[in-house]
Amino acid sequence: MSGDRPIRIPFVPRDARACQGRAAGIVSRGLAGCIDIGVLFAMMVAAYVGWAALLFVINPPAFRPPVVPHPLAVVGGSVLLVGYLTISWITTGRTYGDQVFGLRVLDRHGRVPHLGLALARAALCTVFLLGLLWVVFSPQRRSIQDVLLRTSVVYDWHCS
Amino acid sequence: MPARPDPILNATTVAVVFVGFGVRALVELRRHRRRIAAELSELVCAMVRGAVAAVLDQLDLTDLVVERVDLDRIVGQLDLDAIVGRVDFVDIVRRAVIDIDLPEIIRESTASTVSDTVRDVRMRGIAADESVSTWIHRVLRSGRDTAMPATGPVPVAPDER
Repeated sequence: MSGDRPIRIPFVPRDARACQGRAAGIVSRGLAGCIDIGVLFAMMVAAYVGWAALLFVINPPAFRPPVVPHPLAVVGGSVLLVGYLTISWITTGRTYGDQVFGLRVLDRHGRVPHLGLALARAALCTVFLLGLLWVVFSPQRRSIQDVLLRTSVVYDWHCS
Repeated sequence: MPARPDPILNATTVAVVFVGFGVRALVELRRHRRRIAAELSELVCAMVRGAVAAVLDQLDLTDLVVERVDLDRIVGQLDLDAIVGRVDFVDIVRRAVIDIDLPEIIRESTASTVSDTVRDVRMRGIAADESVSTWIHRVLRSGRDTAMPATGPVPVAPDER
């Protein structure tokens, strides 16, 4: 009797079960990346609004909408993106965009990346976004980041 | 005149012969007692089996049990917890759920718009991935065939898992 064993019910539809665990292609990964870029912009807007609200609360008469220098926006956005990707990959192995398209990032052992690997991959993805295009030409559907860090992105519709 | 046989002598002779046979039989019995016991046991068992089978053929045991046995009392003495504990309900439920494709039934019955949309998006993404891979590898293969006609075909989109 396996009373303590949890029941895992596959909720993946029949027509998608054969794809589970296979490497994802450029379209899914690219669109997932677009969603993540949208998430990044949403976070940046939220950070800006929060900062402005803080300035307003501190000194309402002297409040002016803060002007963000371009380099600061680029650096802040990059840091935010690296943090977002790293936290997403070390927790569930997927970002929000990956969640929408049923993708998951795995290391060479087929596990969710650890902190160092996720951080390095996030930095590479942020600095060299075009590395994703190598998925088109790679027989194993790997980006430059995947080749360098021996990671992979697979279809995985299962929860968590 | 022939001499008449002595009845006492005859009786003694017969007695000696019988005693001799008896002793010999006892000796043989003692010598082969294991084999004889086994044969007798086999014979008795066969007879008993035949007799029991003949009796059972004449009886309807189901009717007898229904009429004469208090099934409620027997069931009341059973340790149902122990019986239930030996059954792997988790495995049974898992197999049943998978066989009847319960998730698909739930999905269709609830008709969740969001999940349908996500599923549709994912399936379209997979289909688009396959189309792009097929097209790219066809182009690469044709280019390679033109440049190096002696080489074999490029494997089409092998998956890593």
